[in-house]
Amino acid sequence: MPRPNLYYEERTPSPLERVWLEFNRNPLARAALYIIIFILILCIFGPWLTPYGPNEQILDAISLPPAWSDDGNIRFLLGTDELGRDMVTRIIYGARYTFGYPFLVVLASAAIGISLGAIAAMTVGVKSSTLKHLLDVLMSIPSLLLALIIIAITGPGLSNALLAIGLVLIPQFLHVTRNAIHDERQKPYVTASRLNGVSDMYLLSMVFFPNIVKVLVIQLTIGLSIAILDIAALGFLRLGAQSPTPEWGSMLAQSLEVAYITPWVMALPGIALFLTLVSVNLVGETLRIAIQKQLER
Amino acid sequence: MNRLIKGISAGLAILGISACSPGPETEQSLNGLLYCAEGNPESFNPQLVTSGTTLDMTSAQLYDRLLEFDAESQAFLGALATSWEISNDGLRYRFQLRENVQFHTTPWFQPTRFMNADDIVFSFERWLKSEHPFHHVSGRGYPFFRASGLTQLIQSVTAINDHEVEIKIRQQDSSFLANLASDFAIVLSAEYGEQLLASGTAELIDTQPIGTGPFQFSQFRKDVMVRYIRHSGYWREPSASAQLVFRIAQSDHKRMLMLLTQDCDISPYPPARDIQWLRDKPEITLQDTISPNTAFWAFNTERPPFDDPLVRQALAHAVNRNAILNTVYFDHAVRADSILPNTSWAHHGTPSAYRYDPERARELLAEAGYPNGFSMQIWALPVQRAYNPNARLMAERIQADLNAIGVQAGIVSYEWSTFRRRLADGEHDSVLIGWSADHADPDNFFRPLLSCAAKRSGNNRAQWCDPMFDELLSAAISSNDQDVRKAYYEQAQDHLAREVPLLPIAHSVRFQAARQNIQGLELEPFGGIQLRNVSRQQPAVEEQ
Amino acid sequence: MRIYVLRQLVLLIITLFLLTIFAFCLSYWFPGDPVTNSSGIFSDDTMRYADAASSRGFDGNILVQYWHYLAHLFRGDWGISLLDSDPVFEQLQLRFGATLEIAVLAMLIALVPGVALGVLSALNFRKPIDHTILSMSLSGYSIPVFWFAQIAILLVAVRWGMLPIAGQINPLFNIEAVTGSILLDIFINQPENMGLAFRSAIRHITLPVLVLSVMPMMLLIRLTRSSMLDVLDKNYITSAYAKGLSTRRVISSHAIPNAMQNVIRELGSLLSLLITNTMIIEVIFSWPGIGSWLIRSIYERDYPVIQGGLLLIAALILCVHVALNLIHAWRYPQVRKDLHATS
Repeated sequence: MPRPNLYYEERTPSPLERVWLEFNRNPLARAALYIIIFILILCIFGPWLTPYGPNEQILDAISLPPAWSDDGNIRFLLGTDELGRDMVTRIIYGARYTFGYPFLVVLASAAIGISLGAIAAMTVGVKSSTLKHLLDVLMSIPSLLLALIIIAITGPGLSNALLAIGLVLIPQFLHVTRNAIHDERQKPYVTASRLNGVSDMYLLSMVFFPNIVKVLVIQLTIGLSIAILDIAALGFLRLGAQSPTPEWGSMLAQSLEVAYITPWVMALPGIALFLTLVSVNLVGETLRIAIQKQLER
Repeated sequence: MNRLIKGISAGLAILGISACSPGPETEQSLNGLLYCAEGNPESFNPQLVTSGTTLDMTSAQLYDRLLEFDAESQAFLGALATSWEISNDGLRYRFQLRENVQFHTTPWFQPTRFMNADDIVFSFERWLKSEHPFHHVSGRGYPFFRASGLTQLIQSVTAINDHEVEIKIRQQDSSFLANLASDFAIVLSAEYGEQLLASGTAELIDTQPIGTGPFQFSQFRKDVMVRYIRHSGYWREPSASAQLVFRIAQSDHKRMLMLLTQDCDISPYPPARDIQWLRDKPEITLQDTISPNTAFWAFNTERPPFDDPLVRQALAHAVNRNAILNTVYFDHAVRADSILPNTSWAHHGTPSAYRYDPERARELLAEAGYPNGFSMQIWALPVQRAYNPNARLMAERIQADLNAIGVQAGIVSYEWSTFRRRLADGEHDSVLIGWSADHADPDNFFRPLLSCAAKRSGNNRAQWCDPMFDELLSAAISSNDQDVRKAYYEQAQDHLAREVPLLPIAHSVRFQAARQNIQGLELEPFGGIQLRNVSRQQPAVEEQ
Repeated sequence: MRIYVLRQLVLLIITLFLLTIFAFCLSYWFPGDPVTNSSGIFSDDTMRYADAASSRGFDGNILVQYWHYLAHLFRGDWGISLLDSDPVFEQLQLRFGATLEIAVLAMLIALVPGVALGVLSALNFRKPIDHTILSMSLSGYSIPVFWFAQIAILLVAVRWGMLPIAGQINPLFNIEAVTGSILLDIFINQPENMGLAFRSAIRHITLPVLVLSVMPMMLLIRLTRSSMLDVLDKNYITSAYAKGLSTRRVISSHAIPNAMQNVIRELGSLLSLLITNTMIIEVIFSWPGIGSWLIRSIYERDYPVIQGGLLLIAALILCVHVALNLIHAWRYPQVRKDLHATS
C-alpha cells in the first residue's frame, strides 16, 4: 500500500531491513540464502522426506545411475551406490551430519567463546595482554591441525570430531569478541553510559552487544564454513564420521573406490558439499557488505 | 618485486613447457618393472611371515627353495636341489644340491664361495632349533613352520658332504615335500650369517637380505617403494628386467588408477567390481586363474559369547553369502561350503550348516541365551587379497545382515602390519580374512589355519584348539593312501560344520592386471608371483 | 626497528617454549604409557624400555622429565615410530623437504595470477569483469580441496592420460632422498639421465601443486581486491592522478605497492590454509610428506610420530608468522610505530 508521500523525507531502513535489501539486490546471494534455508529444512525434516533408510541396501538395485540416464530407475532419482543404497536418501541424511551438527556446534562454541571474550575484554591489564598473545598463537595454527591433535587424543569418530571442531572454534569467537569490545570501548557513547554509572552487566548486554552483534554474525558464518569443511575433511580422511554414516565427507572417501565406474556416487556428495559451502560463504560475504555499507553511512 | 614476478613467470614457463612437451614416452624406455604392491613388506625373510603381500615381494624374487611345485605337470621340480631320494620307510630324504649357485654380491656382503650344504642346514635350523644363533633374531617366530607342524616333524638336517643334505623326519608325512616347495622354505647364506654375527648386527639378515634369487635387494622406503636390481650371477637365465620396483599403494582404487596412468605396470588383485570394465580396456591385459583360496569369517572362540558353538552357528546362519558373492565378488567367485576349496580332491561341502536362515539364527541365539542379541566387532582385512577383494564392503553387508537378527556390529580396521599383530594377539571378536594355498595338498587348509599348533603360532584366527580335530588331521597326514586321507578329511570337515569356528564365505578367481606392453607374465595358481621373466616391451619409436 | 625485531624474537622463543610444553604433555594425554608414547619403545622390550625410562628421567618428578624431554629434543632423538621402529626425527627431516616443496611451489604459483586478478578486479570495480572474477574466486574458494583433487585426477590423469598421480618421480630413477624435495635431490644425485629424471619429477609434481594452488589463489584475489579498493580511495592516489601521471604509472608505482602491505599481513592466514590443504593433498597423491605421515599415524595411534609431526608443523607456522611480521615491518616502516604502541 503506497504511503502518501507529501514531503520529501528520507526514511532510514532498520539494520535488518538493510541487510534484506542487500540480499534483494543480489540474486545470487538470495539464492544462497534460500539454499541454506532449504538445507536447514532437510536437516530437521529429512527422515520424513526420504523414501528409504540411509543404510537400507536394496539388493536388486546396485550401482544404478541417476533416473534421467538410460539405465536409471525412477524409484532412485539420483541413483544408488555400490551397496544398493539410495543416493537421495543418503544425501538428505548427510545434511544433518555435515550441516546440522556443525551448525549446532558452532552455536555452542559461539556462546562459550563470546561470553569468555566479553569477560576477557572487561578485565584489563596483564592477564588480558597475555591472553591476546596466546590467542594470536593459537589462531595462527590451522583449525584442522588442532582438530587432528584432539582426535589423536580422543580417537576417531564423529562425536570426537565435532567436539574437536567445537573446541577449536572457541578461541576464534573469543578473539573476535574481545577485539570488537576493545574497539568500541573508547567511543563516546560508551563513555557516556559509563558516566551514567551503569553496571558492567548492563554495559555489556545493552551497550556493547547491540553494536558488536554484526561482527559476531559475520564470525558465525566464517565459523560455520570452517566447521563444515573440517568435518567433511575429517570424514574424508576417515578420522571423523565412520562408514556407513552418510556424512558427505566420508561418503566421498568411500565413493573413490568406484569413482571411475559410477562417477555419480562421487559427484553427488561433492556437489552437495560445494553448494553448501558456497551458500554459507556467499551469505557471509553479503552480510559483510551490508554491514560495511551501514558503517559508511 | 618486479624481478621476483619475472623470475616466477619464467619458472612457470619452463615448468609448463617441460610438462607438456610432446614426444615419445621416454620414461617408458627405462629398463625396469613397476609392480604395485598392496602394502609394506613386514620383513624381507619369508620364513618369518605368512602374509601373501610379503611373500609376493620376497620369496620368488630374492630367494630360491630346494624344489618347486609345477602346477601344470602336477609334479615337483628341482630348484636348488637337482634330485632327491626317499628312503623306503619314508623317514629319510636325501637332496643332491645344484653346484655353482651364487649368492648376491652387494655393498654390504661379498660372498667368497658358492652355495653349499652348510647354507641349507643354516637356513633350516634357523626355524628348527632354538639354540641356533639366529633363531630369536627379529623375534617374530616362524608361524608357517610351527603351524604346518614342520618344526615337530623334522628330526634333523645334516650335511652329508658339500652337495648333499639329509633330512630325517619323525613320521611319514604325505605333505612334507609340498611344504618344502612352499614359498616359506627359502635358503639363506650361512656365510652372511657369520659376517653379521661377527659385526654384532644379526638383525640385518632380515632387513638387508642376501639370497640366491633372480633379484637382489637395493632400497626400501617405507610406504613408498622397494627396489630390487638384477642379480647378474643368477643360476638360471638372468632376470629379464634390470630393475624391479614395488610401489606401495594401499587402496585398490588407487592401484587401478595408477595402472591406467602408467604409474605401474602390474597390479595384482584388481577389484572385482572393475573386472568387466578392465576387460574392455585395450591397453590392459587381464589374467585369471582358478586359485585355491577361501575367504572366511573367523570368530574368536576364546571370547564370550563366541565360545558358545550355538552363537557361532547362529551368526553363520545370519549371513546371506549369495548376496556377498554378488556385491563383493561381482560373481567372480563361488560360494564356499567348506574351508577346503571345491577344486581339491578332499573337498566335502556341508551347505546346510552354513545356509542363510535368519529365522534359525534368531532361534539359536535365543537358545544360547541372547534373545536380544549383543554387540560385537568385525575386523575387516585392510588390504585386497585374491580371496577377498574388499573386506570392508563385505563387513558392511554382514553388518546389515546381523542387524536383522539383533546383533549390533562395528567395523574395525588398521594398517596391515598393525592389523596382523593385533590379530595374532587375539584382540579381535571376529575377523574377515582368508587363505590362499601355498601348495596343492589339502593339509595346507587345515593345519596352518585351525590346529592347536596354529593357535600357538598366532595364526589361528579363530583361536580354536580342539584335540579331536587335531587327531583327525594327524591321522590324515600319516597316510599316503588318498582314499584313507579323504575319509579323515571328510570327518574333519563335518566336525567344522558342527563347531563353526569360522564361516567359509567364498572361493574366488584370482585376477591380475598388467599394461598391455608387459610380456612374460604368468599367473600361477599357487604361491607368490614370479617376476624374473617379466619385462616391458620397448616402445618401437625411432630415437633421434 | 631493532627493538621490534627483538620483541618478535622473544615472543617466538616463548611460544616455541610453550609449544614444547604442550608436546611434552601430549605423551601423558595420549592413551597408554607415557614412556612408550614419547620414546616409541614398547614395555615388553624390557631392557630397552628401562633404558628409555631412565634416560628420559621417568624416575624423577615432572620437571626432571620435561628437562630430559628437552634434552632429547635438541639432540634430535625424537623417539622411534611405534609402527615400524623408524627414528622419527630422521624421517621427519626427509618428509619435511617433500612437504615444503609442494607448499612453496603452490604458493609461488598462486601468487602471480592471484595478485594480478585481484588488481584487475579492483580496477574494474562493479563491472562485469569484477563480478566474474569475484564469483569465480568465491566458488573456487568453496570447493573442498579433496573433491577437487579427485576430479582433477579423474579428468586430467585418467581420462586424458596426461599426468601421473602418485609419488614424486617414476621410481625407476634411483634418486637417493637427501633433502626429501625431489627437484633438489635430483640435482644432488646427478643421475646420468638427469633431463629425463627432471621431466618425470615435474610431471609428477604438476597436478598436486596446481590443485593445491587454487585455494590460496582465490583467497589472494579477494585480499588483493579489497586492499586495492581501500588504496584507490586514498588521497595520494587522487593527487598522483592530479599530478598528471598516467593511469598505468599510478597503478604500478603507487597503488599496487601500497595495496601489497595489507596482503603481506594477511599471508599468514593463507599459510594456515595452505598447510591444511597440503596435508590432504599429500594423502591423495601419495606424496611422502609430513602431512600424510601425520594423518596415517593418527589412524594407527603412532604417538611418537604424532608428537613430532605436530611439533614440527606448528613450529614452522609460528616461525613463518614471525618472519612475515618482520618482513612487513621492514618493508613498511610506518607500521612499526603502530606495533610498538601497546594497546
